[in-house]
Amino acid sequence: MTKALELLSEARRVLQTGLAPSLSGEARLTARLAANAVATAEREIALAGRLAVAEAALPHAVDGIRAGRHDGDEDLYRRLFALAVLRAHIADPSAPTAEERRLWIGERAP
Amino acid sequence: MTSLTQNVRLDAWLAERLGAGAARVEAASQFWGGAIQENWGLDVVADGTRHSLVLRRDAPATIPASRSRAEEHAILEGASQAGVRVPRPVGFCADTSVIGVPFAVVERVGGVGYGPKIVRDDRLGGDRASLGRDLGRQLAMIHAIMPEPALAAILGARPSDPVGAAIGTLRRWLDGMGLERPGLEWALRWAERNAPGPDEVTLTHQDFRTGNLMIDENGLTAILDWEFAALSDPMADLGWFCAECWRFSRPDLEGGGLCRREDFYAGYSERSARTIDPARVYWWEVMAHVRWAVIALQQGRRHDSGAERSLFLALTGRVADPVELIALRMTAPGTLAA
Repeated sequence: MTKALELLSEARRVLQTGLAPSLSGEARLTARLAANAVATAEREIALAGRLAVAEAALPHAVDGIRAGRHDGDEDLYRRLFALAVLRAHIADPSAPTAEERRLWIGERAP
Repeated sequence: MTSLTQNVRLDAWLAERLGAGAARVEAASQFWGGAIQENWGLDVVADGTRHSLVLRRDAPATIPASRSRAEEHAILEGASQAGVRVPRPVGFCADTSVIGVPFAVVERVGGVGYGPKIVRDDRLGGDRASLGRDLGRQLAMIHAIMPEPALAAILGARPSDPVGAAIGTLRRWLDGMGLERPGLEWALRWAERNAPGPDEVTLTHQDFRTGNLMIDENGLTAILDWEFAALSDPMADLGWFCAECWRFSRPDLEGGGLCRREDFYAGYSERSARTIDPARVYWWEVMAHVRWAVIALQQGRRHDSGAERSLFLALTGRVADPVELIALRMTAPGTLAA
C-alpha cells in the first residue's frame, strides 16, 4: 500500500508537472499553490519527529520570556533557533542558510 | 456578491463622480491577491470616454489594524493633495445599497505591483539608483504631510510612545490568537530591552514596501495600500521598507530588493532634514519582521477559523516561520540595536 509521504509526493508531482503547466491565469496559480501546500505537508510529515522534539524543548516559555526571566539566555535562544530553522525549512526550504541547515536539520533534509 | 456590471446604482454613482451624464461599467475583473481587501479593475465608459478604474472593498474577514475603506480613502486623498504619487482618488461610497458594502474607487495606474516580479525583472524600474532615490523622496513627502482637521480626526491623537505601542500591539495580537510563539516573544523582548527613546511622530504609511509600489519600465507610478496609515515614528517606514523579508530574490539590495539602502536614504535626505539613525532603523527592521510574522499568522487564522477558507490564507500563515527565523537572527544574545 502506498505510504502517506509517497502519496503526497505523487500528488505534488501531478500538480506541478502535470496540471499547472496545462492551465493559465488564476487556475495555474491555484494549482501551484496547491502543489506548494502538498510539498509543505510532505516536509512536515517527514520532519514530524524532529519537530515534536524541538517543540517539547520549549514548554510554556512565553511567560518567562515576556517577563524577562530569559534575557541573554543563550541555551533558550539555541532551542528557539533550532525550532525556527525546522519550521522555516518546512515552510520554505530556501529560507535557512546552508550552514543553518547543516547545523540544525542535517544533510538529508526533505 | 452584488454584480459590478449591469448595476444601475453603481453606474449612476460613477457618472456623478466622473462628472458625466451617464456611465456604464463594461467589464469588471478581480485582481489576484489582496487578502485583506478585494480590488476590482473596472472598464467604464462615461459620456463616450473610457476610464480604467479600480474599485476597492473589504474581503469577508479583515485584520484588526486595517482601517475602514472610508478612512483609507480620506488618507489617500490627503496624500494626493500633498503631491505624493498615488492613484488619483475618484470617490468613496458609504451607501451599501450600491454593491452591498462600502467601497472606494481610484484611477488605475500603469505598472507592475507584484513584488517578486519587480525585484527580479531589470526591465522594470529604470535605473535602480534613481528609483531608490525617488522612493526615498516620496517617503519623506509622506512624512511631511500636515493633516488638515478632517484627516487629523481620522488619524487620532498623536501617540506619545509609538515604540512602546508597537510592542504592546503585537503582544496583544499574539495573545488574541491564543498562540504561543516563543521565538517571536524573544524578538519582542529584545525590542523592549533595546527600545529607542521618544522622537518625532509623523504620518506614516505603515506598509511602504515592495509589493505596494506600482513600478513600470521608467520607475514608480504609484504608492498603494494606505489601509494601515497612522501617526508613528517615521523610522518605522524606513525599517519596514528595508526589512529583509520584503527583498524577495534580492536580499543583497537592502532597499526593498530594488535598490541600495544608500540610494534610498539619499533620496529621503533630499526632501527631509531628519537624521536617519541606523540603530533606530535596525530596531524597526526587527519589529517589521515580528509584525509581518504576526499578520501572517492572523491571515492563517482567517482560514483556520472558517471565516474565509482559502488555500492562499492558509499558506500565508506559514510565512510566519521563515520571517520568525530572520527576527531571531537579528536578535541573538548580545546583539544591540547599534
